[in-house]
Amino acid sequence: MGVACLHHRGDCLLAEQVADRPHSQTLLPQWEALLAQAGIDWRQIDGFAVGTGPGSFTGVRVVAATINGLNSVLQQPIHPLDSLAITALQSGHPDPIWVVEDARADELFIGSYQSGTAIVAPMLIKRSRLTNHIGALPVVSTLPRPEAIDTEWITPDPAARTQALAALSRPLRLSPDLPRAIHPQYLQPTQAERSPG
Amino acid sequence: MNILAIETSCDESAVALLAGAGRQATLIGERIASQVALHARFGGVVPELASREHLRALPPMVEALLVDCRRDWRDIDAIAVTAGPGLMGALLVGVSYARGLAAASGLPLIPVHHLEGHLLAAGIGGDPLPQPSVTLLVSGGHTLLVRVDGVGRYRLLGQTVDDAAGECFDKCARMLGLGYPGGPAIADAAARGEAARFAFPRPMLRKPNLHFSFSGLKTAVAYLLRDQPDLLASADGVADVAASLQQAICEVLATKALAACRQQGVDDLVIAGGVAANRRLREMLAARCGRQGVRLHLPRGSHCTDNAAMIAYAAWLRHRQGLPIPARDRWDARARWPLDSVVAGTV
Repeated sequence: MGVACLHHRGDCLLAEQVADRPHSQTLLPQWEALLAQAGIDWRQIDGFAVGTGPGSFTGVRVVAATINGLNSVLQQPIHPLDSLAITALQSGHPDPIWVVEDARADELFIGSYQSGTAIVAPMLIKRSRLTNHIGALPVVSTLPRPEAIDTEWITPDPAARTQALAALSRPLRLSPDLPRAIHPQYLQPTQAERSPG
Repeated sequence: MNILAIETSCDESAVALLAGAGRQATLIGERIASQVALHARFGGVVPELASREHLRALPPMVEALLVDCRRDWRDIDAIAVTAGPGLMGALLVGVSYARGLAAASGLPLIPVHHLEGHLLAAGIGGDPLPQPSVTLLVSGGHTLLVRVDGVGRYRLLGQTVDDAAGECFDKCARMLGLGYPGGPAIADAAARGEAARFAFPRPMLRKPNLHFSFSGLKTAVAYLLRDQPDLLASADGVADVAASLQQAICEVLATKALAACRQQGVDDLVIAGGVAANRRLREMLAARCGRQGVRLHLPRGSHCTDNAAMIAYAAWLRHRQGLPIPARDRWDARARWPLDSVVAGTV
């Protein structure tokens, strides 16, 4: 699912899309629909806040490449957003939690948050090491709960993701010192890097 | 008409700005960032690393290109991008980036077939290539013979049934310990070797068609090195294997290319793709074309390998021809895309 929001004159316009076509074809129409709703065009955008992962390499990269293309023309500041922080806010849980997402290759992306603020920054761990990290804190994850874990396990509400993005991006200050191009947090080496030669 | 082009189909990030007017298009500027050093330690292109590197490279390259060319976005009339075929992740970076450029600038976006770029590249900076012509397109990923009757009018005459010629160079270079990319490494070693020392097979030469096969040649090299391992211990041995292999590959390519010209009744032969930069192949084709009365057309060296100038040029030719441009968000990158389906601007 692709979610987006546009902060404009104190309002926040929201868009979400369960893609029936690849993200590469649906991102710009979704964003341009928000611009049209606000009655503005790309030249009136003062900055971007963009989820940079960790997550699906291709999905995060398509977003980053599209934003970088827009911003090669617009030259506005870009604020990177931690994608796990969006998931943390999506849960609506007020206390410290862990966010756990699938990284494939028997690995997980995890991070700990309170009200969307990172307590432990995102990291990559072996799936088998999860219990060593999470302790007794609740876990927010779209993955099924492993049998060995009995802590509270919360499945985030997909319908709350757009609001979470809006809440996380609303207070951001778009300093002119921010970068003009964005790069994903990969955290995970490629298979070739793991076993060169 | 000024076209800014993006090419990211494999392991070269490339951008170019081309100005087309009348019958000719002039390259105003280009930048190519090779990823060879990044992939060399893996012995071949790692698709995920290629995608990451394209994303990092493109924004500063486009900015620098516009500065180099003393142009800004108001001077650009269209964006062109390689839409395929190639590595899917790498293509998606270029296509998504180009879509962003087009959206923010309000410019049209022209998707281009990577091989169409190679087919037409020899015309950059001069008159359009004569038509009909036969093009031998030979690289690490492709070995094709194509009849070109005009922009968007391509007929596949023959292609490799297994490995591409460049792939054979790469794999044999690895066996010989010559590093990556294999084509230039084999050519360097071959310059010091004796091409007649080993009689490698000339695959498919006796077949009454225009197809190629290079996997058997690779196997022949593997068997030779298995049976005579001492060859690898001597610089002369490695050089002689390299020279003999290069001679076999070039003879097959040149013989089939000229057979295609004869079969089609065409007097103009174009060579394109990374292997087209091979000096032995160029010399052999020049000599044989002279004897057969065929005119040989070669792109300049930097436009044999992947580049964005050829993408800009193909986009300009398609625009000049009045071929339709598909709507910006109604097509996508395509890892596989048969060349002979490129007819009317559809993606």
